[in-house]
Amino acid sequence: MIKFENVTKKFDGFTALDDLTLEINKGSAYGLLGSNGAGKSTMLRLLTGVYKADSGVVSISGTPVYDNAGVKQRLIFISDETAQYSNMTLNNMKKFYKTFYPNFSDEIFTRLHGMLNLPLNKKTSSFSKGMKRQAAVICAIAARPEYLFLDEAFDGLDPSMRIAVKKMMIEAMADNEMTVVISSHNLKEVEEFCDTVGMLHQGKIVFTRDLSELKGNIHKIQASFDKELTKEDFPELDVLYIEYTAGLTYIIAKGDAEENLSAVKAKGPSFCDLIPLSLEEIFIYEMEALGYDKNQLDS
Amino acid sequence: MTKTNSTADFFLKYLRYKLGKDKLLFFLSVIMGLLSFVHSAVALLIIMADGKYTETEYDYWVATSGIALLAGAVILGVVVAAAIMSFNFCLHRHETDMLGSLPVSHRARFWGDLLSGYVLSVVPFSLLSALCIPFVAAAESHMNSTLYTEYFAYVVLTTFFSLTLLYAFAVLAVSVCGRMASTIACVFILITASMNVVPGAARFFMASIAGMPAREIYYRIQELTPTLDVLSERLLILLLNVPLFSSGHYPLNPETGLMYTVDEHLRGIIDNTAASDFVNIIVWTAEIAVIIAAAFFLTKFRKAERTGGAFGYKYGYYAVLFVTVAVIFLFNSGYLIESYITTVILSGVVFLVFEIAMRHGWKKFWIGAAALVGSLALTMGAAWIVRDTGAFGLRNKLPDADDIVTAYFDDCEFTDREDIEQLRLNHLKFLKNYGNAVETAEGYGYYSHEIKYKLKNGETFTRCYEAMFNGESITTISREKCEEALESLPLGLKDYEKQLLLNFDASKYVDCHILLKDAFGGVILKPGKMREFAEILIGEYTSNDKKGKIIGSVEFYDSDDRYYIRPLRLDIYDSYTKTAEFLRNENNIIIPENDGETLCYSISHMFGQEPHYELNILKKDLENEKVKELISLLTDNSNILHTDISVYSNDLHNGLYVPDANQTRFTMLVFEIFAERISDN
Repeated sequence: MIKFENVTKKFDGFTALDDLTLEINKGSAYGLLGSNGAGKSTMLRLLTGVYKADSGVVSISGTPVYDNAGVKQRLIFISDETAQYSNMTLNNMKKFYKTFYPNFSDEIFTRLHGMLNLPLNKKTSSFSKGMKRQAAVICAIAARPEYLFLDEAFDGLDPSMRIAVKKMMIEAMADNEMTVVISSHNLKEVEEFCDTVGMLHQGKIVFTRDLSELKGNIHKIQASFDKELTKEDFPELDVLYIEYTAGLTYIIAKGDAEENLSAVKAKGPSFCDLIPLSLEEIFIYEMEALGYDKNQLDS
Repeated sequence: MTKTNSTADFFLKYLRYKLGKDKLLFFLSVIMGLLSFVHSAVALLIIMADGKYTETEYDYWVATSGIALLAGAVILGVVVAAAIMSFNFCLHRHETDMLGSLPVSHRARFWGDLLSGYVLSVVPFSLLSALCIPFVAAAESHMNSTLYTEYFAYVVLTTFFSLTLLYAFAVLAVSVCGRMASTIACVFILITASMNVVPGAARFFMASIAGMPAREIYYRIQELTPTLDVLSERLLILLLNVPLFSSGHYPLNPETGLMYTVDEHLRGIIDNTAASDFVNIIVWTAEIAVIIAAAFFLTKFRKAERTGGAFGYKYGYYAVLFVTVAVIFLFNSGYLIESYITTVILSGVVFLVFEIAMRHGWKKFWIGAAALVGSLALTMGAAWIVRDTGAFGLRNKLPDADDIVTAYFDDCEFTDREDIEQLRLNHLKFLKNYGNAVETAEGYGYYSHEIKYKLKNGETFTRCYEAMFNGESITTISREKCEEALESLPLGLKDYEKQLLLNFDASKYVDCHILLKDAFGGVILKPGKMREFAEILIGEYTSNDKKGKIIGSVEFYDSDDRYYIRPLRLDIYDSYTKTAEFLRNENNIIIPENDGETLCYSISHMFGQEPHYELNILKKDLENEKVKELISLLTDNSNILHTDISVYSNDLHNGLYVPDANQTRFTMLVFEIFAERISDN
């Protein structure tokens, strides 16, 4: 289990993480959400021992991570930058990971490489950003870590490659009980891959929840009323957002789906329906509830 | 089952990875080693074994000297680059992310980084240098030397330590700076600081004590104070002596080797530099250990988020500024008023560079400017106080007479209590009158004297004083005054003259100038006669207790190209009949019987170091119009230097000079007088 216990991290007076407490279960695929500067990359760097917490403890299986080679041997971090591999060929990268991770599997590497068919002896400086990321991912998976941390995991990958990479990671999770923590702006990818998500805002965790539970707890109701209604017209609902467009009222509310639907129906709409919410919409409405402008987030 | 690594495994794996990653450095280091030492050593062996040295070979070696020199300079760049590449996680965030998350502890990573860069850059070059020693030893068997291998081994050893120290500096710089440009600048600052801070401060302080900062003091301090200098002398030894044998004028050339022996040349280097460098090596080792420890803690406490930026610098900025100002001041010597002005200008420039690099903003700029002014005031004020107080009175402090066992004035040794006390009293008097006044700039002094006291506790108290040329001095007193003051040091020492004569070795002297009072003026001896004259004079000097009236004097010059060395000066007495007879016979000059024939002036026109002609003017000649005009062109202004014309009057101790503006006319007149005399005869 990954644990953040009252972790604070500041950069020159800016508080990136503020007394953060969080647990991530072993074997889960955890998606970190949050706006730019929310603290996602900082969390990953603390998790991988790159950063040292100003206060609090970051531990994996009860052991602090920072400057602990034993724990770090069980994890791999793929950061959002790939320049570090520029002077290496894929073969060099393989050698590099093989050097530091004794569980590295040539067999897995060969199989994964076969799926992506990247040049083995060409310097990765000639690779596209997506190819570099693929190279890093196949090396990381072949190293069979217990924990894999990816910053902007799917950045630069085309749709087919995204599917391939996700498939690889899902297989690895199944084979090794690997725990994956990814931060991404691509909420669709997180939604498809993760079973748990956590949202960071201004260095604090807003929520951390099982994705299906999260999606079951927040709903969008589309209804048609003869007049424009406001949030105050639904005091029994935990309304996150309400919008009146072209004669239709859209209500985003937390709580039980059926109870929310009944409450809306009780106001006598000519039409009322429950629409499934994507993670992206959940993210947007949660952020708006925290004071962000929805239109900016949409754009 | 999950495999695990031990701590040692982590380190070894990391080291192996780093060694493989930066192997380009290794090849560069090997190439530079081959181009400098190896190439030169093998060629030395071939040429020495062959015993021939043609002009083509000479030209070839001149060209390859340049390559060796360049390779020696490039290896310095390779060493700095190795340190930067090994610790580049301080510069680039992606490297920090990759290396910081690897299963390697900070300690293992630090030592891995440190060793990899070192093994790839310094070790190959140094090993190749060491491998050359057998080649050099083989070559030496064909040379007129027994020291060349020893000398070469010394060069290899000091090169190794110098490069190691440079590597340590670069590691420290990259740990602090976190940026490429500022790292390189920091390496230069560290080298400059190490070159100047310790020896510079010591030199300044000791020179303040000694009163006159003489070259001898400069060198002595260099010997006494372990220098942290990487680039100057040791590097010069590396760079200039790799192609030592390439020059046609150097002794290793078999055909021109007869000029002087190799050993004579090398002995000087080994005696003057090697001994002190072995002290330096101990200091360097300690310094390297301190620097590495500092770098270890800097990288340990440098937070990953500081990647690409300076660490620790923010807090040390004002300290760095102060040290830089002090370094600039010491680098500028600190004795001349010009050095104060230069310090202010250079410090201002460096400060602006610092501020631009730091991007502090205007508010902090003014605080920094105030710190700069404070640093300048503090540094110069401290220097002024040290100088003005004679290093807080230490300059004028001499050991108690009772504590002195033996005293020395130059090569003369005094064990007699009266002599010791007299020398000490003269010394005190000298310090009282001139201690502060003769504070001078570094430069070529006219001549120097050394006073040394061996004390009962076994210690030696040494002071060296030097009279400076007026033009290079800020002193208000003239060189002649300095000379006069220095000459007063051995006055009254009864053993001094005797010892001078006992130590006199005529073979060391190449020229002498004789002046006879009320007799026949300046005398130039015929070639080869000086030694005979010296032996007669010294014989009479040592055998005559009762000396009588002074009738003249003689000055012996010890080398024709070291004119600034003070000549040995001896008086000639009327009791020295053999000396007078020698002068009469050898110079065909008859001592005049009556005053009418007494010589008034002796004029020597020097051409180079050899007398070109000599014109004696007797009293009877003073009626001649040309002679009158000639004498009117003379001046007794002693500040005129470098005149080629020497004029001595009957008064032995007063030389006369010909001002520059008068020299052409003076020469013309001399020739005209010569012409008249020839026609008269």
